[in-house]
Amino acid sequence: MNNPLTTEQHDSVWSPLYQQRAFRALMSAFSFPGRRQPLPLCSDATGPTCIAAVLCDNEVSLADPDQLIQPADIRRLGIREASLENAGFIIADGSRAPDFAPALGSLAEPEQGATIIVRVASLESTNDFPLMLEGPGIQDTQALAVSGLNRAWLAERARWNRNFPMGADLILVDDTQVVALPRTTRIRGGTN
Amino acid sequence: MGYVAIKGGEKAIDGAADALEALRASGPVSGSEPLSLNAIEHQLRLLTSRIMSEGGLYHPQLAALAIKQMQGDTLEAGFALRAYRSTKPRLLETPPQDTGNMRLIRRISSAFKDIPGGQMLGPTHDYALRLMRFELAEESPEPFRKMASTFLKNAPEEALPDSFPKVLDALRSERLLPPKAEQRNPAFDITRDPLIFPVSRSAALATMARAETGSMLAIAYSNMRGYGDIHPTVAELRVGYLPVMLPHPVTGELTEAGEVLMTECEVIAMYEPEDTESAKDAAPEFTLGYGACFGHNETKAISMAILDRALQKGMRDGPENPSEDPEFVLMHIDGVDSMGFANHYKMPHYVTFQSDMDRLRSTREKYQARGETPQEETHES
Amino acid sequence: MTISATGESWPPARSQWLRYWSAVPAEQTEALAADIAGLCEVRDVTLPQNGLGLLKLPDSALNDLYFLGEVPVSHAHVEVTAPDGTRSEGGARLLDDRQSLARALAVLDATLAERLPKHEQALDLLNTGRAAILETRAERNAILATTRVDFSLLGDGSEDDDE
Repeated sequence: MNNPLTTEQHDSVWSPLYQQRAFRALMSAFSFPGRRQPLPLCSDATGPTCIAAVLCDNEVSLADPDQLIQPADIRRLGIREASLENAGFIIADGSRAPDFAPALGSLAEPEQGATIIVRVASLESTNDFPLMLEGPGIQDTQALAVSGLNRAWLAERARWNRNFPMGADLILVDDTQVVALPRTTRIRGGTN
Repeated sequence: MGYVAIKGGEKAIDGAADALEALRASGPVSGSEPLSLNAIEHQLRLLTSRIMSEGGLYHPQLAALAIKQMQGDTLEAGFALRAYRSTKPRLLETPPQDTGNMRLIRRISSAFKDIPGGQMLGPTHDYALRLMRFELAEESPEPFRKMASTFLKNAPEEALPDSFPKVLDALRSERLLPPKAEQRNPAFDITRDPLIFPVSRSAALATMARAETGSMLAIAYSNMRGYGDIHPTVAELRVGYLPVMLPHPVTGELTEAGEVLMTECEVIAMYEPEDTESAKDAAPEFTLGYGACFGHNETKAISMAILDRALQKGMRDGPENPSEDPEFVLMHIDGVDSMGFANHYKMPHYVTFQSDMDRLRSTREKYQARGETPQEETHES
Repeated sequence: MTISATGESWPPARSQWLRYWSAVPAEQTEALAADIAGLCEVRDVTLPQNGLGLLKLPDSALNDLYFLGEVPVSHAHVEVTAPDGTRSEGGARLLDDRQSLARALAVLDATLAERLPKHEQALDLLNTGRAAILETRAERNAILATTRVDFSLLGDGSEDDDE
């Protein structure tokens, strides 16, 4: 069928092949926290939409306060929308300080903590805003440079994650790359 | 605990899979065509029915495939269907469907002969002699192919409705039955939530609907035969195709999405005043039991209806018999659970057994040190 | 008692369409949907999906809700735009694994709803499907009619039960 969104176009975010490749990239990102992973080339969506298409369906809830995903795309994915406090997934603009309290789960169900997809300007390697990361999945330390991430995110993240295993996991994304910051990763720096 | 990583079995395991496949294809060359799924689905329709209900998924073609792949092992076939369903996303929960709309092929009552709409025996072995029909051993394809069309041609030209009222509703209008609940609790999803006792009747019904036929029959039989109090009458047993209505994605209007073959049974049990504590002050009325399952499986539906009635009694007044104990019944009727547990004993338990032997040896040493001889020593193995 | 699939007006209400088209061999409906997609623009409003649905019933004894088990479900919701700019939304939910079939029926649904090009063929397929359903219905009716029990009392002169 002459459908511009056909599932046979492999660079379309709606194709199963794209979603499988992007899932693979996300899995690698979570295996190596702080290490940049390239997202597969996508012709019809921006970074946050690509991540949501991989992770979200009608069984999870999403909050998109900054409207970084087109409403038609949310409908196409069949995702339930929820308030910031209750959403399983949150899409946020990294340039602005977070002013919300995500779900952190409970001691009995820490997996109920939110996954926050943070759009940043760029994950390209630069010298400004260098972060030093430690924790499970990182041998010694891992350096990370991010442009377009409001520094308040780091303080808030530390606050959300202070009662491990409760907490929130972050996925930083620009339009071509992705970095995972699970709640187990400790971050230093970012102040200069 | 008790497990160690061992290796060395990989080749043998591959070989076992090959051997299993080879046996499927072995035997005399003549007549060993591979089974078609259509043949299994239709010619072994009661087996297919059983696998669908025990697998918990209404999918006749996949049930047929599971039967073929597992070489007729019903427990393994149900397991395969369960494994398949666990890989699929959950898209929706249907609105409540009305089994009064079932398009029937069979409908009987042992309570009344004159049920509204009449009794139709449908396809049943009930009145057949259980004599072997040796002519089926060498069945030729020609008459086989014509059988269905001949049946259709010879049928009386009487146009009957395809759905019928429920027998229970007639009794209910005479106020002889407990009223239907007005307030309905949400249905319990046994595929996502664990059974933590006490469970709701909804959880019990769902658990029994996908239970193993033989396990349920055995416990229901115990109730009928003496370890229970039921003297059931089948108010209605019906087999037919339930139209499943889902909201249309655009208009929202309920639209038929397909049909599901199912069996449904309601039993009425005699009211016995001394039976129940709670009923002492209430006007006497019959008690009811309900059973239903995917496909055509009357033994299962009747067993379930009897167990439902027994469990209601046990939940209300406390169990006096195993079949009235929700935990005893619901935890022991699942085919995948019980078969898996029984079969896991075949898997290597080398370390646990080693530990058992060590314990026995050290106990014996202690006995001998005390100068006593344990009795078991007389028959050493 | 309900009598469906007979004695109704033609064309049938939209709520009957999916039932009729589902009774047509899938190749025919998918071929027509592909033809329509050659003329019109088809856009997915939601992604076509297949998966499972929990089948919920009230038990007919005490009216408790419970799940009988799961059924395969495929789902599609499309918007079809004709060359003259007419837009129409169509959808399908089927107890079937094939999301391609659900999508094809959603395209037919949209086409017939707004009488877009080739809706006549979609209507023809409704007729084909209705015939198939009537055939199935006749088979079931034959089972009921053949096995209907004609009760009569002993001693009322009808002992010569010839059944």
